[in-house]
Amino acid sequence: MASFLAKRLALALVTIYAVVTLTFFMVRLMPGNAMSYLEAQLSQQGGLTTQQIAAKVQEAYGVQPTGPLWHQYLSYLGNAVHGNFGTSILDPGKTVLSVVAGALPWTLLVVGLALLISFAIGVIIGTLIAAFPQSMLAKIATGVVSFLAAVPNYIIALVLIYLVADQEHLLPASGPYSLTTTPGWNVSFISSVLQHALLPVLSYVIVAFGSWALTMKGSVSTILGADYVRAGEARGLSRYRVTRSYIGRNAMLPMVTNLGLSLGYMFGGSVFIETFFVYPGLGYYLVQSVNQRDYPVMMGCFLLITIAVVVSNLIVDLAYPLVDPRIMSPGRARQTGLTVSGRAAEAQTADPAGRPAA
Amino acid sequence: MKFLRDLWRICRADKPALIGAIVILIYLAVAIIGPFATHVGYQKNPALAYLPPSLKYPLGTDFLGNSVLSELIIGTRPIMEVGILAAVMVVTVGVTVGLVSGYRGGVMDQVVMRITDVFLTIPGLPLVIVIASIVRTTSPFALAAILSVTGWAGLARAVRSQALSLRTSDFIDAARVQGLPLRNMVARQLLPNVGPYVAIHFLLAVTDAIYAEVGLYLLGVAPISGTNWGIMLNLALSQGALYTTQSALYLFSPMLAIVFLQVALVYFSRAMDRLFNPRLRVQ
Amino acid sequence: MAADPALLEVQDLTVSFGKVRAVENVSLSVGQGRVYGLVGESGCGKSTLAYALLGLVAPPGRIVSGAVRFRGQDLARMSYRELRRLRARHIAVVFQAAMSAFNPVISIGAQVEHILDAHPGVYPSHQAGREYFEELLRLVRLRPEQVWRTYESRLSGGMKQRVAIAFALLLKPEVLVLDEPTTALDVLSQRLVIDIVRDLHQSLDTTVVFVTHDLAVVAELAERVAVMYAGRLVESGTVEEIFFDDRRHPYVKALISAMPSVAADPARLRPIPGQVPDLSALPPGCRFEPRCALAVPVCPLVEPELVVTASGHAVSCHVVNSGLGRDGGQ
Repeated sequence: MASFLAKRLALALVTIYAVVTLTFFMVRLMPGNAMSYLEAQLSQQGGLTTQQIAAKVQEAYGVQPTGPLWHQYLSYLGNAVHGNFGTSILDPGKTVLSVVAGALPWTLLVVGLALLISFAIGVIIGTLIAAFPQSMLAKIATGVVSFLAAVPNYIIALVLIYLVADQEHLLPASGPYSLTTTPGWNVSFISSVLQHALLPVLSYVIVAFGSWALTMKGSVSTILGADYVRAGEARGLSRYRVTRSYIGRNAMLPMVTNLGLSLGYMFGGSVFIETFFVYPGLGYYLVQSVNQRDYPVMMGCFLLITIAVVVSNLIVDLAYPLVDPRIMSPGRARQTGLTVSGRAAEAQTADPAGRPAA
Repeated sequence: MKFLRDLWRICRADKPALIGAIVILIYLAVAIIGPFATHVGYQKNPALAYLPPSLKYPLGTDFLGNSVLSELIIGTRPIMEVGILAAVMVVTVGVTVGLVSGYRGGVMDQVVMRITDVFLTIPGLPLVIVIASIVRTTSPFALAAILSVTGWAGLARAVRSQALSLRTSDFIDAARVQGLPLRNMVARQLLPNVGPYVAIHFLLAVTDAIYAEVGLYLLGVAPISGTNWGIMLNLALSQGALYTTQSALYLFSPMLAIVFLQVALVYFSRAMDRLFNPRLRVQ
Repeated sequence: MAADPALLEVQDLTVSFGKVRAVENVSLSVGQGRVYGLVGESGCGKSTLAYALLGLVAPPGRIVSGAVRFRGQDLARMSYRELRRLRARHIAVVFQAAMSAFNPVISIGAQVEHILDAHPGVYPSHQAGREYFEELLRLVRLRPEQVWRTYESRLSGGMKQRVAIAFALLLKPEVLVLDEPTTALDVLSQRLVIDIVRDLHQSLDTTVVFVTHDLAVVAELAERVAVMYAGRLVESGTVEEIFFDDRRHPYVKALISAMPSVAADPARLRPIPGQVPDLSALPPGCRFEPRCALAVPVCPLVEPELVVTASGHAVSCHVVNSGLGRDGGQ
């Protein structure tokens, strides 16, 4: 068990490190790179010495534009560990860290709610379809979700905005909360937040629940025919027990495995949803900073989105043994004196029949 | 080939798949012939702006006075070009990495798999946006390469586990005993076994690429040149099309064009899945 | 008829899967404490029949007519609740290929606890139940500490089969049904399972019904045998009658001759020509007729009756039964 944990943790750290490095190279080395661009701009403006320009660039990016490359890299890493990612070019008073830290909760709120809701609906509908495959409900549901799962989520978002254009007060289509309420743990604020989150969450859910439903349906259908389910019945177990521990637990395995992948997609989709709904999350700021050439903020958003995905993947990985206890360390097996058949949790990659939400 | 006959048989039974296949073919035809059949101008012509649908303009006109239908037709090729290119890149890289790594095994396999895991975890779309904004390009090849920067990882992993299980199978041992070179092993022994999975993944890679590509244009991250569905949506939005009904056709036509293609690709990929997975045919 | 009261009785049972009748008009009775073998080729319906003994017909199959009676009560008419109380407690089954008879994500011990939970009256405490299970494990030559906390993926095929037997005997049922207990096992494991079943029958006086296509196992274990072909019962009798009697169904005779013997001359091996009929396109008459050397004109037209002699030996064949009255007398 410990080695499994350690391996997953190590992978997470390596990924974060890789992304930080990647960000550095994109900032410094890519053609048309950001720092040179800023340098050129500042020198064009005139009135600054080269040292002053260098200082300004460093302040903006957290990296000295001069000096050997590996030196810049190390100082970048050092700064990153301290949370110094520079300041916004457009708004030099704000640090990148403050911008992204403020944006993170909003993205987490919408993505989290959307994932929970679409997962829950998907489980219910998928199970129903698998349990009553010949019914009218199953046929209609399968058709509908097959269609919806293929539609890009930004299109759904645009359609929703178009449809509710006149109902701003009921179904707000912009902003995280109404400006008339004061932020804090009070009912009017919380309800305003939820109200404003409704449409963005809906945009995700409409597309995503279909994928979950299809995956669940496939999973349950396979399990229903399994021998151990019949064996459970043959032993006189109650229907409840068989459904919960024999069908349910086994059917959930592929769903949990897909959670990690799905989170990646959803965070990615946030760039569209948040932009169209003017929702101040990481995706929104990513796009804004791209269009405004505010590269430090852009890098910061990208880094934080990636870290969010890595951490949530890690949480799912760590929770997996709870669902599938077969992941045991070799040490445990030695206790029982048997050889290990070693079933590792190979994360299921995009299964064509049941893609997670795009 | 038997494969084509099986495919035809499944398509006939599975209506959505058949419709999907036909729709895809139509789109391909439009992409190839389109630019020769019609053209689009870039001069503003207020007199012709936002005209309702008529015989001359079956889908009405946009804010420049161009026929929306013409724009749709011309816009098909760039989208499909980049989409297919990106899918080809994803599949090529993914399959190569997966096969070689899985077959070779050992330390190299472990290292390659860790790298693949990293690419798998990094969220693709934000990375694509970041790269696209730094490398502002209009070349379809460059764009396709950017779009495929993380997509290959999933396929590589799946192909590698296939290669791993095949590696220990008997017929591979037989081939090895005969002293066949690696090239032959990969091409003629392993490839046909992963073929079906790869075909399905190719179709899905096209949908992913189109999703991302249109998204890039939609957000204004990719430079605007010429016209395509994403650019149409971008311009429509900036003209405030979301809040009036006047330009509804201009707004919804590209949306429908995108949706029909995506749905067609997904339905068709399900037929392919059924083709290679006979168990599923019973359902 | 039989001197012992029938514990388990099948009366004119017909089980259909859509249009296909997997089991048709089969009747047999299993006496208390007997060992009963069900024999036939793959697809002859013997497994379906065995599962019907627990009311466990796999959907989309359903019992269309007839009855399965345990101590006089018809299983086909029981509610799920009543069946639940019956299963494992009075009638237990060991599935064919116990490879997947265990829930993969729950430890073996936990699955035993599930059974104890579902049948609270049998043991005063879970501890008592666990102790008996461990005793059973030793009976099947397994070490309890190897099994209780492990998951099924860590057990070999032979081990799983034996654990499955222990599971089946946990609640001390009166009837034990085994579906192909020796198939898919290596020869040593086969020997072990046969010995275990025999020991258990002798020490616990359990009634045993086992399904197999392996006549050697039948010869070793069974007291009475029923032979099925294409869904119908073609012969039933004691094991001596099945193997040696003059009056036997042609299929049974051919089956016995088809068995290779280590000692005999291999040239004398005589396989049965032809194939098992398609269950969805059955002829109106005898189903074995196309492959039968004794066939006469009436065979493909009229379904032969099951004629029972005074000793309880029943055969369903026009040719073999000709010369016998309806009651089996000459």
